[in-house]
Amino acid sequence: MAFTARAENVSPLAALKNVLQDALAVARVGRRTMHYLIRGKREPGSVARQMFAIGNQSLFFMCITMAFIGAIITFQTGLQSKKLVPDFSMIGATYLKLLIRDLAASVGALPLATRVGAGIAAEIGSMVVTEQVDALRMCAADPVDYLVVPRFIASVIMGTVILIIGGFVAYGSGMLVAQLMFDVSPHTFTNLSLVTMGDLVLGVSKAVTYGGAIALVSGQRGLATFGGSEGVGWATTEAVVGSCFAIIVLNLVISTIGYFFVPAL
Amino acid sequence: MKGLSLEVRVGLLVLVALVLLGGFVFILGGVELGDQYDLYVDFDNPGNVQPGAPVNVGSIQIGTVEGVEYWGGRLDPQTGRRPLIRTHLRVDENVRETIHEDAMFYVTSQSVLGESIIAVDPGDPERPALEDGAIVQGVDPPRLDLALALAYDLLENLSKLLRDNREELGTLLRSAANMIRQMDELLQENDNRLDAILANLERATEQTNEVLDGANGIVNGQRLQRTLRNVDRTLASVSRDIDPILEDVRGITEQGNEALGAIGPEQQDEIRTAIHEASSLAEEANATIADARAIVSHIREGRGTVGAFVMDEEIYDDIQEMLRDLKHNPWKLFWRE
Repeated sequence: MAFTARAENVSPLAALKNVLQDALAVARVGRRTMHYLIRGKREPGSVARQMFAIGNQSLFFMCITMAFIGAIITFQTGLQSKKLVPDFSMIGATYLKLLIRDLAASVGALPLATRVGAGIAAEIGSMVVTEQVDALRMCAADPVDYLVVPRFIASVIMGTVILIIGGFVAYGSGMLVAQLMFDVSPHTFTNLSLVTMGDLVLGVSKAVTYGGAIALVSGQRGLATFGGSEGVGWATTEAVVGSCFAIIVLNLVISTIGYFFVPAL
Repeated sequence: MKGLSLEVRVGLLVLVALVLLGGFVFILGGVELGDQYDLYVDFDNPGNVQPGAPVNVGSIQIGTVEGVEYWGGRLDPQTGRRPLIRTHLRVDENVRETIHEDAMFYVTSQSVLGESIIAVDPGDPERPALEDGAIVQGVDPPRLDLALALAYDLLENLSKLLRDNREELGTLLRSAANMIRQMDELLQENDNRLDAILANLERATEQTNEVLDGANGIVNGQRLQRTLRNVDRTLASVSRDIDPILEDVRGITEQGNEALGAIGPEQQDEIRTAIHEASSLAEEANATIADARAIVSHIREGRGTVGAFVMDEEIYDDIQEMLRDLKHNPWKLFWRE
């Protein structure tokens, strides 16, 4: 992975070339994942186990993180808006629109990538360095079908679930901060007047896309692991960094599309 | 939770997320829990009102904007108007009887930076309520952008005027200042005369007030009121009797016409002569009546012997006293010094 500069003295041009090569590698894994998603056979319980690992076991971490993020955003927004207009009646409506349209998915996906991406890369990377993946290949089984696809399905579903719940937690913590710091009542803060169905569709689309991107990038980095336990460490780091980068790039792409098809009021 | 299988725990988490998302969609979709009815409001400039915007009375939401349709000034045969924008409102059925025919619909915003909403002034409770599907004309919001543009144009023109006519304006201001100074000097020089003029004016005003008070007394006096009552009575009497009199006159005229038709040329000459003589006689009678009126007027004014005798109450009192005295002392008739 180009961003982690595993090799020393890499020029910017070479780094850019590595980024493009990594993106192509992820795209190839993505294509094979889509293929096996339609034609492959799932081992019974494999998806459920991954869903539990990605969703249920990330729930507490994500709720705490999103609660802090929501509180901080509301506090800083309130402080700055107080300098502009002495009116907090629309702070809840604005915050909710921002949260649904972008922050709940994009900001929430970053801690999710650290938690889930690292787990996927470490797990698959360990299997690679212990030659379990080679054993699969010897049995004429594609490791993408057995290892990446269940994690992809689980990550898409549970990533969306976790980001939805995280969004509600962030809104709740923001409401609490608005009440305590700016005397904005929960009733005033709960204002849906600026939110449209298009905002919701855009936000959920981002959550689904980020869930898939985390699984694909992390799975690809796990399968590309080499060099023993140190390689697993590098693969984990590269998976987290690559997932975060993929989230940022996808956010830009989806927001640009949303700007034209779901314009903000 | 520990007794539950892995699949159930995953399913529960997914269910929680689905419930949260579904509930949010349910609320966001503005699901109508009660009956609603339709109103259509025409605007030339509805500001930034969007579908889904609330419809409020005061701060209470009574409905939502269902749609905003561009009409572009097409003739609406139902109303005979040419709306530019027509908004479709869905209003709660339970407030239907409180939104009357003269209700005002205007565009405002929830706060300084808030979204545009439609506010309703419900109108006169004596008027009938608006029916389902009614089309009304809304009150357009003030065009602040237009006002600013006009104000900017005005200021620019004013600035240009001041810049281009700086010397003329300076001269004008100097002349005005000079005029004010001269007027001040004039006033100081004629201070005493001005005081006298004002005092005279005040006195004249007081006298005018007194005259007006006297005139009011005459106008509102009993004598004039009595005269007016008499005139009223006379007019009423004339009004009552005029129709029979006119009937009689008409009959007499007809008879006269008939008689005139029956008489010959010689008789007509005689009649003319007789009329001429009668006319002369009438003129003399008028003169005599005028003399008599003059005499009567003379008497009423108490002039002359008869006038004094008739009108002077003192003479009446004297005569009454003399008669009383003669009644008590009849010997005075025969007594002579």
